Amino acid sequence: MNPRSHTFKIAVALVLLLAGLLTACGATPPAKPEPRPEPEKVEVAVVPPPTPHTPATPTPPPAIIAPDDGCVNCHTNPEQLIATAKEEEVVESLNEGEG
Amino acid sequence: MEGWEKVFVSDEEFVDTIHGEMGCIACHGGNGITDDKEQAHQNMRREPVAAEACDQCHTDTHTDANSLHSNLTGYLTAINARASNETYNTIMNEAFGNHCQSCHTSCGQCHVSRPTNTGAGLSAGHQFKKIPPMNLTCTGCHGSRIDKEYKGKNEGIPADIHWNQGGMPCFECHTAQEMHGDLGYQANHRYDGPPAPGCSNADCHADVSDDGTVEGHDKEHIGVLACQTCHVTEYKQCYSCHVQKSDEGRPFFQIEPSVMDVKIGYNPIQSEERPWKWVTLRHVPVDPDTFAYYGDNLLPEFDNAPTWVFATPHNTQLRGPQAQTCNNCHGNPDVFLTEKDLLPYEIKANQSVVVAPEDIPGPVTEPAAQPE
Repeated sequence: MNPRSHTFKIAVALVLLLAGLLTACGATPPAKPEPRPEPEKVEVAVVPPPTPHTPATPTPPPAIIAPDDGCVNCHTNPEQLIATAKEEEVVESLNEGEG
Repeated sequence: MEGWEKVFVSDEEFVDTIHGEMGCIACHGGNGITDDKEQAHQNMRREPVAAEACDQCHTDTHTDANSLHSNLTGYLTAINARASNETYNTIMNEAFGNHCQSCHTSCGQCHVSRPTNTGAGLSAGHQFKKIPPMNLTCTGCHGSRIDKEYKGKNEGIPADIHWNQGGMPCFECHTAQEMHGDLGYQANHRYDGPPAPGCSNADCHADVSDDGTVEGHDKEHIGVLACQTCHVTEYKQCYSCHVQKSDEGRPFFQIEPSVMDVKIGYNPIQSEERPWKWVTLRHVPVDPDTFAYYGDNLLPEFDNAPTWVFATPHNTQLRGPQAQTCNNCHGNPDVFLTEKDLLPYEIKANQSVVVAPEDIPGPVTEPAAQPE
């Protein structure tokens, strides 16, 4: 085969391939969308706001656990309780007879 | 109990319990991030408010609304029966708070601490007791009559058979539903609604029959006599309570010495639920002048309600003195409430319960002793 003829054929094939690619990848403009119809004007009924729903069995709110280290530290420590306790005033009962 | 002991959380495991995990502040308020005692106790509630604490989780227990222990409606009913509208308000304004309100109890005063009326203080290091400790709570308050009768602490008088043979603590008969007022009706008095507890409840003496196979358990007695008329021994009658305040403003009461005996009379609350004609009666210590310190004639309707009231004494015996022979009741005026048992000021009030001498069942011939 004539080498020049072979080169020519390859060049032609490349040109055809390139043309095909360009045609395939070319952006086809999208169809123009139909204009959206204007919404019909309708009377809108005024709906009262929904009545607050009360569940049959109330669920307790999640407890907010406040820090209580001070309470626990003191009330589990007898020495501290004794040291800070106010002396209770002993009041003799004035009752007479069995209650 | 020393003051510090009353608030000592000695139960080391408490903080890990479901109640402990909620933290102190959630129920008691106060300030938990200071070491200063005064600051820590600002806005602190020694006793949590049930609606804000207990009821948030224990939604099926409506103690505050219905329990007579909590709302004291039984007291109000008794006062209301003897007061006028005007004097009722006078009593409520001051006397009730000074002398009656302290018998109120709450969730915590049974399940966590001793009742305030008995000195307060944690009963078990802040453990929550599903069943309150009987001696600190039930008989801590109901001491002079129920405790002494039930446990045989009145000299010479035996304990209740449910205690000395059955070993039954209070809650065996008095259920949580009763204590919490969850019986399905709003009671205005201890004896409103069906007997709770009732002797013939399903788990108790439901097999008691009137077929005569047990002596005295026949149609002439069963249904006419409340069980207690035969099955109790002497119980306590209290007289003439007067309430007042000292010069320093401290409330106190004075009451006459009590008397031990059995008195059978007509049923003042006869109904389908308590159909018996004859019942045991107990004297309540109300007096026309009980509230005289707070004003004149504050119980103007004193005659409206008997001072001998329907009672279920807590010293049940298998064979009480009345049941030992027929004629311990028949022809025995001492065991019946008659007019000679009444104080002059209460004769009219007790007309519905007092037994006329001619109405006392006459003596009968005792049945021959059965051979052994």
